[in-house]
Amino acid sequence: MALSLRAGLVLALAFGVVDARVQDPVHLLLDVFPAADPCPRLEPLPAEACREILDAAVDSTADSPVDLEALETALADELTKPDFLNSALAKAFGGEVPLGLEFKELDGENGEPALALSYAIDYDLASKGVTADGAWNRRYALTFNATGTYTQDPLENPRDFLDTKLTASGARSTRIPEQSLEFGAQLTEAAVRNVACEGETSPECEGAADEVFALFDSTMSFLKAFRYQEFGLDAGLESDQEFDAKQRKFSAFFFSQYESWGSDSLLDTLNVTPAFRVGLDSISPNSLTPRALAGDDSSYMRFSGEVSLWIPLGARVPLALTFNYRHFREISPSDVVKNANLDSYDIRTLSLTGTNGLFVTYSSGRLPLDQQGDDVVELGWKTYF
Amino acid sequence: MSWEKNNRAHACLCVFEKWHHKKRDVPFVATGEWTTDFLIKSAAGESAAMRSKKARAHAELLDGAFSGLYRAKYETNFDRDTAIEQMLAVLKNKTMKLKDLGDPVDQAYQFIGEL
Repeated sequence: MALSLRAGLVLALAFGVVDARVQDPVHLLLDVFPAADPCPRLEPLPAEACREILDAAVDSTADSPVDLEALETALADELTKPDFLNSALAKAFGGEVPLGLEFKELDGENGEPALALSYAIDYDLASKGVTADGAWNRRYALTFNATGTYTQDPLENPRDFLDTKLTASGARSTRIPEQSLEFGAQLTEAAVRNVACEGETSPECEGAADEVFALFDSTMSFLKAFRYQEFGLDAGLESDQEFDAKQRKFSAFFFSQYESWGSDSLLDTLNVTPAFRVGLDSISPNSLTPRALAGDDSSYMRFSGEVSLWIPLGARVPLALTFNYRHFREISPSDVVKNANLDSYDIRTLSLTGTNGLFVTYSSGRLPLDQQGDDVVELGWKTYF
Repeated sequence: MSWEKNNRAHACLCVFEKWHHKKRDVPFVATGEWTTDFLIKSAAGESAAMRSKKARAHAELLDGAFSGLYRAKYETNFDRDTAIEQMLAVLKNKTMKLKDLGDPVDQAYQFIGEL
């Protein structure tokens, strides 16, 4: 790479395209011959890091001194960016990153960005479905869930909360009524034609764009919504990232999601898909939890709730607006806990999310085991090469 | 992983997701780039438990749409449980996209007119 650039530079100098006296002949050459720039082909290596390496390589072949310390500093900044690290992770594991590992850059209230590594494990240990003749299908499952966010310095972690649990649950979901084979064949052919006729204007493709959607719309006459409901028991552990503050948790929960099928309901008019989860938790904290440090290390009962809204923004706009709110409230807290402001926690997150990974997120509040709230902004582009 | 316009399973999956997400005008290739977060309607900041349940709900929904509306049959060696688990493995993975779901759907379901 450096040799071909050097050869190009020599040619450019020979033909007078680049003046040898200019300060930065490499960048000038790349401006004149953009096709010679290898950096776009080396993505996800950050462009700035690529340029720094190129400059150093050309300097070294031209016997110019290379400032290795400056190069090291520049590369340390560029190569610890989440986009690059996530791409490196995806490449290392052939596109299937284990344990839901993901690098993030979290901007806390103090303005200092912190590099964080989050994980999300979601594993079904057993699952059995029951097909029903009535309005619902049923399912029973045993699952293992673990999630959390690590930072190099725990004090920099605005989301210092690890949640690990085993869940036994039963669920029911709307049984979509079986249509006739004739309808199925018509729908299948219309779907195939819809895709095959994209961008086509031939007579055979006339109406292909709308035909399949009209058939789907016709199912609204017998189906108003798709509902999914789940109830169960959790047993697990909540802790900070160093496992100093930790508490055992047993809880009973109920989850429900309602997806309008496109009828004339209010939710369909508003274009919102809501979901919520409520739980009653029995908590046994250790002596290093904020609550115990405030003077009350007794076990207690807690209400936990979560609401999520998902709103697509128009048929042509590849974006959705999302909102999530999580709330934890101790039932009958002691005065010590109330006075220390440790009886209630909540966190809200608003996000504009793209269909293919672009996102901007703002969240504020605190989770259990956090002693103070933080506003956190995440802005990025989730790409997996 | 392939994402082919002339694959019946891929076409049926794509068109259903476009209709379900109210994005009827998005082209086939662009639809293939939709993330699983978008497919299952996951909101930023939500708990892992909630995301997991939404993934399960969407897998159940897809199975219902394929079996009940398209009248697809399960391929040999697949039944409702294994077909849903196969789709769930993709939907639970935040790094996956709709185009990654195409082949698992094709393997699990035989759509009308498929050889």
